[in-house]
Amino acid sequence: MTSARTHPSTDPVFHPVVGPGAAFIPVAWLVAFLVVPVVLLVTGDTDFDDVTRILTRRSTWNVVWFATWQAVLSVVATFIVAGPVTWLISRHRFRWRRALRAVTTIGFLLPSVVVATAFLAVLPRSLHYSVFAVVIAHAYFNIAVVVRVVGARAESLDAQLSLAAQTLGATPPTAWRTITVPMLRNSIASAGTVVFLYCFSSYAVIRVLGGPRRSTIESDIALRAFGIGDVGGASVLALLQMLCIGVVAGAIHLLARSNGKPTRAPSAMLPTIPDNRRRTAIAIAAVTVAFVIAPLSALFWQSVHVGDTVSARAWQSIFNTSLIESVWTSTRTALVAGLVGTVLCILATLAITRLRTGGNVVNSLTLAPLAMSPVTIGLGLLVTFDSGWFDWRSRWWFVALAHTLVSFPLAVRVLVPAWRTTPVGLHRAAAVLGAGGGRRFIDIDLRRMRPAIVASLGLVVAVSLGEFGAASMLSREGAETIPVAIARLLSRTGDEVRAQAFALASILVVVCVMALAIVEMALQRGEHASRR
Amino acid sequence: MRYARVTPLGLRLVWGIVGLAIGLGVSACSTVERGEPERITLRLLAHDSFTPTEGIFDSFTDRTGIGVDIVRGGDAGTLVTKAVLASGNPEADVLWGLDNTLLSRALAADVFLPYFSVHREDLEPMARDLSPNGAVTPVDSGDVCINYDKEWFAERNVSPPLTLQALTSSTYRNLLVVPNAVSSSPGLAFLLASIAEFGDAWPDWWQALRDNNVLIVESWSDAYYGHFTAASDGTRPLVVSYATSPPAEVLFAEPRPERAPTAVAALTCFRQYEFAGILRGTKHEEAARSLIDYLVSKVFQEDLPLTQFVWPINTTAEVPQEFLDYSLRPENPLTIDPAIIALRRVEWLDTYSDIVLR
Amino acid sequence: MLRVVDLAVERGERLILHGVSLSVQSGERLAIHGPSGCGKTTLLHAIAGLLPVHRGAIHVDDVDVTHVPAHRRDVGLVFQDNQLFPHFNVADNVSYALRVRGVSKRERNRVADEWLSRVGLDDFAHRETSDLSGGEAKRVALARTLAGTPRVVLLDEPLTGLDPLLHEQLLADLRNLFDHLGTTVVHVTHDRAEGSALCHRSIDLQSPPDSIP
Repeated sequence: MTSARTHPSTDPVFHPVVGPGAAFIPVAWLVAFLVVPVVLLVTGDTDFDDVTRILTRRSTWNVVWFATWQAVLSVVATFIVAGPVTWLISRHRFRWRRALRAVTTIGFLLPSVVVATAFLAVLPRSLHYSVFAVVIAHAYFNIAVVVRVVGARAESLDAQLSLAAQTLGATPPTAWRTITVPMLRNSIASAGTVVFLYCFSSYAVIRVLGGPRRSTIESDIALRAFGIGDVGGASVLALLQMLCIGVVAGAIHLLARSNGKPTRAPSAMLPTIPDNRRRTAIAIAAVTVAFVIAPLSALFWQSVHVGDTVSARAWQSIFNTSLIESVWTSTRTALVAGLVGTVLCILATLAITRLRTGGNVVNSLTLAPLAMSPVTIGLGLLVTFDSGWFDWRSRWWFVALAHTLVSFPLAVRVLVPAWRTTPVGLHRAAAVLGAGGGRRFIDIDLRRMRPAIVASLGLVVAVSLGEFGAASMLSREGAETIPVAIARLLSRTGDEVRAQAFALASILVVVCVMALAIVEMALQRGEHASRR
Repeated sequence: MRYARVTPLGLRLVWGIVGLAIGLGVSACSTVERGEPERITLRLLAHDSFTPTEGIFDSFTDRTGIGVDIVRGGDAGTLVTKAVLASGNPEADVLWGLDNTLLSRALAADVFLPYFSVHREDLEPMARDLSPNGAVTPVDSGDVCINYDKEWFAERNVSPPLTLQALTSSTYRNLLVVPNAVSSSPGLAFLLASIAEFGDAWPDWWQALRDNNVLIVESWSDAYYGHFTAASDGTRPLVVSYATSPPAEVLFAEPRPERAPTAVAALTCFRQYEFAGILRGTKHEEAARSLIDYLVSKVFQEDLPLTQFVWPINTTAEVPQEFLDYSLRPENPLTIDPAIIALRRVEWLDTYSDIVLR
Repeated sequence: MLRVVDLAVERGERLILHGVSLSVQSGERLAIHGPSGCGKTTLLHAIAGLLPVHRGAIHVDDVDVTHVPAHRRDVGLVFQDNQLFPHFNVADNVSYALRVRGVSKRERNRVADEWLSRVGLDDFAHRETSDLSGGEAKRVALARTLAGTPRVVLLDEPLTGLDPLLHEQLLADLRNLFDHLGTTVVHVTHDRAEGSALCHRSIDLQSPPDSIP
């Protein structure tokens, strides 16, 4: 008679070709444009001398040390700034809750160049080029990480547990310390390591706010490649950074697993703010919002001032001079990166959810761009695709290509959970109603995933608009993206160029906030749908 | 009642793909470059300090029909690095602003197409010899020196430092601002001056500078217009700048002072030559050659002193009297053979950043 | 009509069904009883084409569909937990089988209204699936399956878990509907009373000897 067909799953509604087929393109993409260039970079331009030279220099280790301690300081600062508002949002229900949470996310989605520039605008001159400026700018970005990661976990905890501890004789602080904090510990550690990673490989903030004396490994790679012209040394540093990041990322991976089960029924409502806490709550909300808005307002304010005089010259010059080119370049790059990147993400998500062991491999592979920093990615592409038919250095889409790689991890992480929550039963029901594999993909998967796909697209666009590291490596004259143009304007002195930089940064703020709003709405709609 | 399939999914997909392909084709066509225009426009890539008189290229365009589009790409160091990384697929046709401190890097990366200008015989021999195979053509020269604010020192009755060694004296603590040698071309020239002066003991001298609280900034303009007392509200009366900065202070000021407010410590000067070259991979080699010829011609060279405050390399070019009045041409500036710079640059910069930047 | 011959289905290493045979005439309604865990749902899923067959054959209207994929088998299945598409409203759910066949929107809506009426949910077309009660959801699931006019309708514990009043009502409605349409039905339930009330005939599925009770 017949023998059972071997499917990746025993359910024949899972197509045996779609999984591996879908996996092929994103995997090939990552290998060709990420893995191969970096390998070539490391093996081609580097030799053993470079390795010994870089690793035996005291200043290399000074840089690693600085990168580490400023990152640790930034993590602490982030928790200090984000702690109160996280507590407020995750333990209470009130009218502007969602809006407040969205406000805290603004910093995260803004490009690092813009945030650094905004802090230049708001901080007094004496604090420019200081560690304080760097740390506080880092805290600004990462508030959202704490609010979302620790906040989500805190939200799922039942307040009754703490009360139960109190009926057993524990004072509120003891209850907090012995019951609540241990349950939050993993999410705190998880958030902390993510923040650490971002700050460790920080580039734009260090370059704009740290001054020539301060350097993370990332900014040193750029400096070495472009400033000193030592590409071999730069790639050794890139490897070193990959190693450090790999270690930390591994820690995140392990921590993320053991997060524990929620103790509160999801339908249980959070309490409203009790009267005695009302004033504290308002104060916290006000301070947080002010903290987020202040640098941005300073940015707008300074863009209409040249020196001490109010003037719209900076804005006018954007439309009159070649600076408008950068707006066009950024838009074009972001759209292309968004479309191509989203398609790749969908394919990767298909592969991850349709294959069993292969899916895990693809999942880990999508994390690769995180380990290779944007500057390294840009540099790798630059030195690999530089001859013959593959000489892409002058192609307008080269930067967009780098951006699909940089945004990959983030976008995939939005799509996969949404995809995974599709009940298999829906597929079966649709099959029984006559829908073949392709049809089911469109009607069930894609359609259901529409909010997540929109969110993913918005994220890739936002990342591309603000991306600085890779763009600074690959941009060509007349085709710079806005962040690169901003950095160049800031490297010159003069009130006028400074105002122009602020004006460009303001444009980016507006566009990114819009992208963020779209992402937020899409994610909410997705949450809403999956709760049914 | 049964319903048969009306339009199978497969067919719809096919139409979709066809539509997409047509759309892509149309958009691709619109981005294809139009055919070679009748008039050639050359892209001249230069650093941010390239500021010739407006319209200086008009006579060139009238005579040859070749347009010139100036593209400014940051400071000399970035310019060169980008040119090196873009070798063979350049962003422009001609590069202006490569100097002798960076020469080695560009030559090693085979960035240029050699060309001996028709005016070659008129050019300063010493400069010419730095590029014997004609890969690049010298275009101007200058000196990077310590500039001091005369008024500041006079007010406090302190005599300004006249040599590099003097800078380490505690008298001059907190008074010097220097651009980063890693990111700035005059900064690099200053570093090379110290190496030429002190030989292998140069790291000690920089350590002493560091102990004297020297301020390091990103770029020359940051140092001069951000911190130099004579040109900003900064607090440092000693700055690394050009021997031609004093005349600039005079000629741009209103009303014009009788004497220059700043002066140069002649014994601290390092000779800098600037070059221009045709970038390999250009589609307009012939036109680029004409442009190089124009750049070293008498007409263009005579524009240089008062717009960019550098000395023309064409010995037949006349230098305006005002320029001669206020400026100083050091007779024995410090120099280092570019071949040696080529060999040891990275090592020197590494040591420099170890001492000064960390 | 439906004919199942010596069907064996395995899951992992175990055989869940050990050579089941049955046949249902056109217009006939067959109830299948058996203890939980004996493979009733597995049998239905196999008939519908959602599980690969280890041994045996399935014939629908004399066509051998043993290796035909689920979406081409023309066999309808009402799932125990309904599996209504949450991102479609009620009307779109009901007319889904027609959507797949490329029928125009106007026609689809007309058909959806017709079937919703037949199952007693007259103005439910624009409701969201999350707003439905248990009984209403079951009726929508039923309408959805029937709207595709499959040759055989499989019901997986359709009335289990409903409160007694609803149970009674739905049972009566189902019987009337099927009598009116003359549908061929295979009805799986652990409730013998329900089986005999709704169907013409019933069989018992044996537990496989090595299964865990």
